Amino acid sequence: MRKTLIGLLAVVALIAAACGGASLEGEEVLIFGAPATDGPDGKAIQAAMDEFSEETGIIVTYVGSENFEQEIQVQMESGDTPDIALWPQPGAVVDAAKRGMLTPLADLGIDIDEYKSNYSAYLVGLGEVDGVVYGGANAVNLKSIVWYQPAEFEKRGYAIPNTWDEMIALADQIVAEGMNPFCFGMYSNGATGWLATDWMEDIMLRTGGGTDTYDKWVNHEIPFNDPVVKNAATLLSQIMHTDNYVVGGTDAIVSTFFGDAQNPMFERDGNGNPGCFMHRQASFIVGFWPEAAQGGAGTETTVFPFPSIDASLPKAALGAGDMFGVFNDRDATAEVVKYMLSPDSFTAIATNKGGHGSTRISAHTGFDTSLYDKAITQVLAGVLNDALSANAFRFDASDLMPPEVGAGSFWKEMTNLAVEGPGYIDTALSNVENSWP
Amino acid sequence: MTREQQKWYDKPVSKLILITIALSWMFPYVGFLISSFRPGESVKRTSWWSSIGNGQLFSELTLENYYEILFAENLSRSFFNSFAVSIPSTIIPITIAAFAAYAFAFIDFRGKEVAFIFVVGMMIIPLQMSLIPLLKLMKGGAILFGVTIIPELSLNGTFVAVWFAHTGFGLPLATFLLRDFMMSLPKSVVESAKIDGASHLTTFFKLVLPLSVAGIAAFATFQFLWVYNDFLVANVFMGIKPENLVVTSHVAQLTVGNYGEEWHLRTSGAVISMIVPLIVFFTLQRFFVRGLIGGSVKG
Repeated sequence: MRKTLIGLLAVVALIAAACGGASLEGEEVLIFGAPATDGPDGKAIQAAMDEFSEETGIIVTYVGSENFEQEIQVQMESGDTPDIALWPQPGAVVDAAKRGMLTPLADLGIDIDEYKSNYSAYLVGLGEVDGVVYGGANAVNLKSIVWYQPAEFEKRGYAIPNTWDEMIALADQIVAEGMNPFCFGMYSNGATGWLATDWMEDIMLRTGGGTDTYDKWVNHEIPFNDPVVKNAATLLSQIMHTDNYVVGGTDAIVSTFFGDAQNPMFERDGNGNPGCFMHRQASFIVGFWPEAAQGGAGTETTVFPFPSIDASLPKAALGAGDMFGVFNDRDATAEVVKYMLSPDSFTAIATNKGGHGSTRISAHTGFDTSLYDKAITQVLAGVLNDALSANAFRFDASDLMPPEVGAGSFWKEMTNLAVEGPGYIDTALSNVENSWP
Repeated sequence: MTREQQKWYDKPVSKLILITIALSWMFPYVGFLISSFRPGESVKRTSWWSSIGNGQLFSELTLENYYEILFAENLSRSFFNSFAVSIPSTIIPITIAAFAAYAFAFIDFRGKEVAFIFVVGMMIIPLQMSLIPLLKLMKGGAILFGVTIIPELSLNGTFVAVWFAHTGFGLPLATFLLRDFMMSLPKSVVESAKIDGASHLTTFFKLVLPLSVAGIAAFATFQFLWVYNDFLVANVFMGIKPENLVVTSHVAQLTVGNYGEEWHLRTSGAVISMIVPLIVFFTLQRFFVRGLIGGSVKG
């Protein structure tokens, strides 16, 4: 009696194994990231994953938390990790990989060469440890943009400047007509200075050896007071310290909150002129605009790419992005990773399926940018796509430099430079150089 | 009643001071409550006091913030989870602490003082410091000199892990409070029971426990409120899986938006999660005050 029962159980188990083995239906995969679960980005990621679930039967759940970075540390300590974690910066993926937490993407059946050609060698390289790829590129955002209002430009016959010289010429013309060309405010509490470092990075990408020099600068293979860097600081100083270039004057640069900096562009004086015409800031600034202006993002107020300086260099883009790391090599996890690296995983996000309202931009160079439902996202994605395809997309240098510099002396000395004027350039750069650990 | 016999808090000056303190204490909560009924745009633009000042408040009152939280998916599951965490996390430490408190109060044994100082000393250790070691313990267990003291349980992400954590964090205070309370009971009663030949177990269950109900209820209120309101311990030990969310972490998640821009929902979320503690507190208020004062004054 007993034997038959065991035999029966064994048969049932075998049948179950045979049926279950082939399909991954009902398997659960957990993704943990920084954009909160119930926010636009979190909902968008879940919407994309729901499409995948419908096709494959693998149940993918996205969970996001504003304390992601602390929580994922705790989870790694305790061993209670999700299947996939989506970090807002690649450096953290590398850290986790060095601690032996992550599975190399190649072990999940990902073709690394194909992945590199889809996402640019630079981006893939940010998630590499000793030549092994751990990080999966996901979304990117763009900092190399200048906001302007096409109607105001047209009214006065201004052309979009394609080069630095054209931008300076336009600025001089605006000053000559009695107005201010630039909005520039960099106050940001303890982080004051990052806006000026962004400017420096954009200029560095477009001068000297372009991305090569930029990478050397980030890795401290050239000193911080190298002539190339000095040249960049001089160009930045030209914007900050030329009389009447900045609305409110040079003194206002350090004291104006970065989120309020663009407000003069939306105001009109007695003659119907805006307070400023150009504002270099990343795409997130839209959220800080007055509500009436936010609806016109991409149409009434839109962007042109940061002008090139050395015409012989490819069109570069400065930005940041998310990268995911994988904690196990389950078959279901591997399927999700493959999906996340395919352009299909971004269709639901771009088309705003379910009305989540996300503005995430895919890092996949083959993604069809016309799918984005917002005008401004299409513009930004176009610039990013070109730069990624030319392998000229670079991460924010101050995020890649050691924190003593990237979140310390670089910010501080750029703030001092704004206050002290062009005579301070040498001192500023030497001070940063001396602070490099 | 002559003037001298008046209690100090009956004097007009004292009353004025007490009322001022009470009002200033309530001030932020009033603002909090008002903000929870204002639309998100207004909360971000103007302060609640200026909205009263210019009369804008009354025209803009809305329940929108409440709808967003109350009709969120799975909020009822989170309430259930909160109770599934709070009730055992209250009962387990009280049970253990009542036995310990009895021993500290009525049994003479060697090293009693040292042991008690040790228990009280535990209250000083901030729980944040022990989070990671505790996580590691619950995952991998502990092996000392090749002997397994605690097996590899992999408890993290389960309710049991949170119960254990809250029991550990709650025990020192529970033992301390209950011991003080039990020492305030009339000694003669316990002694006469002893003379009559009652064992410790009988004395505990038949005599001390019924007499300590006020103290136990006080601590139960205390512990329940703290566990229910806790965000950190639940978040750390229960993990991030949606089916494990408690009310506090669910409300936190609902009120973020992408990266924090939905913070205007925080006030209504907090009011909703506050309902349970308020009910518990007002039901058990009598015990709460008596229990705490009983231990401190008479002991």
